[in-house]
Amino acid sequence: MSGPSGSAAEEANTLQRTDSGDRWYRLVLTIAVATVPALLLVLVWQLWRDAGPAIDRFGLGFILGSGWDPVLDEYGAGELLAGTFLTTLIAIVIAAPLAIAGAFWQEVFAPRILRRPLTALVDLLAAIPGVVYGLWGVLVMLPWCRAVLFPALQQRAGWFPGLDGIIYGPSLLAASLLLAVMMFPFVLVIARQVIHALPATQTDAALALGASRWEVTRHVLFPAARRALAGAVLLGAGRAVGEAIAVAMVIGASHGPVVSLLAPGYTLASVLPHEFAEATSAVQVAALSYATLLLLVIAVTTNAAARLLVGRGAADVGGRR
Amino acid sequence: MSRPVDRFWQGALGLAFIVGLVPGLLALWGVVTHGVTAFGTVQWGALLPAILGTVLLTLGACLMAVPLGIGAGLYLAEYPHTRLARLSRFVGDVLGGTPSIVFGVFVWGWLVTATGRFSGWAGSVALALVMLPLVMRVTESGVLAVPASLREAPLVLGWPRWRATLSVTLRAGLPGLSIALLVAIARVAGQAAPLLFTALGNPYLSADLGQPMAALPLTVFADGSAPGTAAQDRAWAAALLLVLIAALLGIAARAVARREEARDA
Repeated sequence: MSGPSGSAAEEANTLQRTDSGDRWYRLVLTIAVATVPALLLVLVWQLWRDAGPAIDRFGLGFILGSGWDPVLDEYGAGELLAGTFLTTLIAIVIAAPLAIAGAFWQEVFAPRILRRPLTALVDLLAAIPGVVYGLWGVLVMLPWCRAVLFPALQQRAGWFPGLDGIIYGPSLLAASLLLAVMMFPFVLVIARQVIHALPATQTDAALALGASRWEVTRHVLFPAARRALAGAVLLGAGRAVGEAIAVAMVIGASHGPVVSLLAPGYTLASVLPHEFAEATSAVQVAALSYATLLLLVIAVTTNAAARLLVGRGAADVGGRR
Repeated sequence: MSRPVDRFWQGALGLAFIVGLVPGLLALWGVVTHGVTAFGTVQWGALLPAILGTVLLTLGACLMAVPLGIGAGLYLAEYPHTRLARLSRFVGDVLGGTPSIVFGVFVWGWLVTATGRFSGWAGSVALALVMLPLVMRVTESGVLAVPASLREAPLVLGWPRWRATLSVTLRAGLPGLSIALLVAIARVAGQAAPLLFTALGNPYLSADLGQPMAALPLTVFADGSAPGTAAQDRAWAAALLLVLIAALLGIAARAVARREEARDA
């Protein structure tokens, strides 16, 4: 730069004189932050390489293809995808309305003395690892489902598609129910933060005009939170899609077309704990890696959509309040 | 203003809360009762490798993810508008939403096949991948939560930026950061999925991260599906330990938060 403005720029430069320590500081931080995108790159590249043989052999047809035959080395992810879709959908339909209604109750109606303990309890339920839910699912919930819930369900609603056939216990429905149990606290925690973060001015204005707490919830809080609440549900869905261990413990581990919700099945994520370590052929490992890649794409898309809706910050589970 | 309608909806929402909460409470109750019984009967010698393994694997993950995550988070807070910051923030969200089993498969292909064996280190790396985006995000928001006046005061005094950050901003943000770290540790300690194809599990007591390593979540997964009461006792006991870890770290985080609130007030 030259001319009269040059001296001003120089002066600004001396004011922001950079210390050599600062250059090092920035360099170190840059390296730290750059590892994050680099890791994603390595992750995708590695999965792509592992899946290579299956991608070459089955192409895009793998995604919707059916059949999973380690003997003939023929694989398709269509049935896994169907299992993932069904279990996630049922879990959402059950858990999401309860979680959102529960979050409003906790934020708006709950008696003051109950708020802290209830919050602590829900937070704890959200923090219990999936494998612990899986253990409870397989040793407590499954026997009850087999003996009580499923027969009763079949008797009353056997006409409903998917509720016919033999009752096994381990099944797509059992996995869906367990996912719903896990999703409730997870979605509730986020939904509560969403509601909590809403500006108080409108609520106060409505209350001042004589609106009741329900009217405030219905006409002020809910419309303002709707978008972010949809995001909270999607975050839950992303969690459910990726839950491998708990689902693997109760789904019954069976390939094949979905004939009944009461029959054993599989999902994209839950096939991995059972088969990845025991895979016999290189093609099977590649097919499982291909399935992992698919799982990554679905989970990432769901989460990206959810974050667009929720906005950053509200999804910081456990962040400062 | 219609009172009966109001009361009806208050009841309906409260009922939804209870209906949703009960199954989770039953699960918690089941783990606690079965776990407490199992604590009396289980062979602790058989659980010890898993306890030691979980401690070491989690420590290893912290060793990698905490410095890297704090560094990355500081970058995001210090230089928020650079292209690298925007990209990393987005990628951090993507990694944060990645199912943890994906990290297990990835580290298997990346480290286990390369070194030719399952190892504690591979398990730690997989756990660190779960932890990293979390640490990065909370560091960024923790630094941004420190009042700008406090962050800028040392710069006005002519301190270099690194010194301002390390001795003022980080110190002010420390309580928030430590809460977040406790939450991150709680989240990672219970993960089974990243360990299945990396640390693998090990029936013998081993503190060697170069060898396969046992972990509590792996014990729950393997023994929970195994027949026999001895195996199931081990699984229940391990599950209760995991719940206790989650509960204690949660309580610790709450205590730090409350002390902080009391000081601010």
